Amino acid sequence: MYRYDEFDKAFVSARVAEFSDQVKRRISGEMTEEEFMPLRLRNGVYLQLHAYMLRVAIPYGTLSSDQMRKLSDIAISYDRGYAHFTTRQNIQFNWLGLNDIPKILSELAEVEMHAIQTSGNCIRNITSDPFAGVAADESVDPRPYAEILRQWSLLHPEFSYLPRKFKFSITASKSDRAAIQVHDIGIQIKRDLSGELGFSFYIGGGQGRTPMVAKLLCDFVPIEDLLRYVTAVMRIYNLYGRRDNKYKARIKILVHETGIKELREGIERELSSLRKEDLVLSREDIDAIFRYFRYPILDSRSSQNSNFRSLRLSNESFNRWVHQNVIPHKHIDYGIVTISLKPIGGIPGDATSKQMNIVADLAERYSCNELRVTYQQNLVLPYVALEDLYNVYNKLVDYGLATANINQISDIIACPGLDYCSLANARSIPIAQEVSKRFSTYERHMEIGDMRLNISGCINACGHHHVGHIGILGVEKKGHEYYQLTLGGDAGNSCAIGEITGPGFPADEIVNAVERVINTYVLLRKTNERFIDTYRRVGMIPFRHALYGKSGKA
Amino acid sequence: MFMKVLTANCLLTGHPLWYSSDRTWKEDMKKALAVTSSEECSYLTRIAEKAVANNEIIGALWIDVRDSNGILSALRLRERIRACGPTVV
Repeated sequence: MYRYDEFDKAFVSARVAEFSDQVKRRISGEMTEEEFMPLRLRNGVYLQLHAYMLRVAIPYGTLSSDQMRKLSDIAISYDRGYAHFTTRQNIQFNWLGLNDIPKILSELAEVEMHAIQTSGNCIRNITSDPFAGVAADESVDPRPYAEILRQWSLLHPEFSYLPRKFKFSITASKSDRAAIQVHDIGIQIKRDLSGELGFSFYIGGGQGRTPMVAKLLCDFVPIEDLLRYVTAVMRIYNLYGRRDNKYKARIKILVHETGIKELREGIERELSSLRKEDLVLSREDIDAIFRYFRYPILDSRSSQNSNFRSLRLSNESFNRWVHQNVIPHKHIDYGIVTISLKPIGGIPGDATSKQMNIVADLAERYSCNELRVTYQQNLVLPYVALEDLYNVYNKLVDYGLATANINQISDIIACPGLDYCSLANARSIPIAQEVSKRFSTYERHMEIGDMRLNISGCINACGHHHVGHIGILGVEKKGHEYYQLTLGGDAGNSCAIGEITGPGFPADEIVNAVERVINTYVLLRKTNERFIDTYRRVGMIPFRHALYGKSGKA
Repeated sequence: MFMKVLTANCLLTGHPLWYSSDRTWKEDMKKALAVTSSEECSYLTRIAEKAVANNEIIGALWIDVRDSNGILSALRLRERIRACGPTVV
């Protein structure tokens, strides 16, 4: 994984010193809250319902064991012994005191972490495929390119005060595991017919109150033009993006109001106005960044795989876990393990300090010191030899981390909702817990099969409800929590925004409503047909009838 | 007749605070001073402005409450969660 150079270290240390001074001045009264707020937000510090919250960046979702141990230390030393992994591959601490935050940032800097650009109208943490570098289907590891974009965007003087926040996601696989089409810019790295690498640019995707699927801006931008192209896009957005209305300030609105054709012409004009020699990404620069990623050398472990196969046959729970949570690695003797942070009835994305430590230990011992965070709020051990899976599994069982439910109905994405978030209108977590408990058995999970159920506690859609196969949006109606149901969303290659079923449901009815949707699907599906495919085939009507009957009322 | 209490957050901890009947800011909503007139509101608003200026609190605002047998509770769920903490474990 990437390691800091001297510039990175000096920069992050200077930033910690600067923010420490700002906190001191705020506490002494030299600075008002009005003056301080934009400064704390630029360092990832929010004031939530119960305390200060710190959002720490995990660039492209890659972590080392030491970094995970540090996050665990912070959770136990400064917080309440747990933390929350987010839908943008970051981590949030919920119960911090302002005085402690400079110390925390200083400790994070020791392990090459920070919270810069995790808030504010700037280019945010760049997300990527959690299986990057190990997936069998990728054209190249996308993370060095994400790192190039991170370095380019870090405190970029021209793009630090954008009309609104700006999110990049980048993948290099045919199968989109990074939800690139619901980002402001989504990039897919691919090879052309001659084998040359280049970038497909998608633009103007996003969720929130106006969900939109991104449009293809350019099918193939040559590698050397990456920074020239993103600069041209950002300049056009910075110039023409709306600043009069925060709800219309994202680039998706500019794309929608201008039209992709006209916008593309503007971007190409901007591109041609850049001097050819400016911002060209040289082969030497790319190689230098790749060298800063430590790639492990994987030994052949083929002679021992027969033991793994016999353990699968003899231990049913282990076999289920392997089937659901382990996928093939590009090295045939290894597997990619997804650790579910969705125990039945648990809080999606939360991990205790102990759990973080044990995952760090497992990564150190069995996964080349490396971990990933997924936007589905799970963790990944990317380099586990098949022969070691049984040991890893048993350790995960001991710490409540072996739930075999990846991409199933209880693998729920949920934002913190009204239990923590000052923007939320309704709670997300209790609904996630109830859904998880309702469909808790292995048999029910297998009956339902592949399913993405996502829950947001407000229209900002941090819980990705728009792209859940089943989406749940919490709203407040006359002082009560109501939940709107959407069906047919998809964050992958066939990206789609879910359609609202009809009137919302009160909190004590929403899980029943989900069950009616599931039962309708089970009744209507063809053999081995996934929920999303059945929905696409039969449409909304049968589900609407199941939910509302002929009256059309919830 | 309305009933309101004054709430804010502590600058240092970020914890929710309520202005109490002993004229201090408390972390316990049950100790909040409930007011029922606009005159009382104006008076306490000035106190809150001073507390903001003195760096004791941030983000003071009024919330609606009800009194059930001597126990105050907020009308909005958001404020009840602020007062009692997350509803989940």
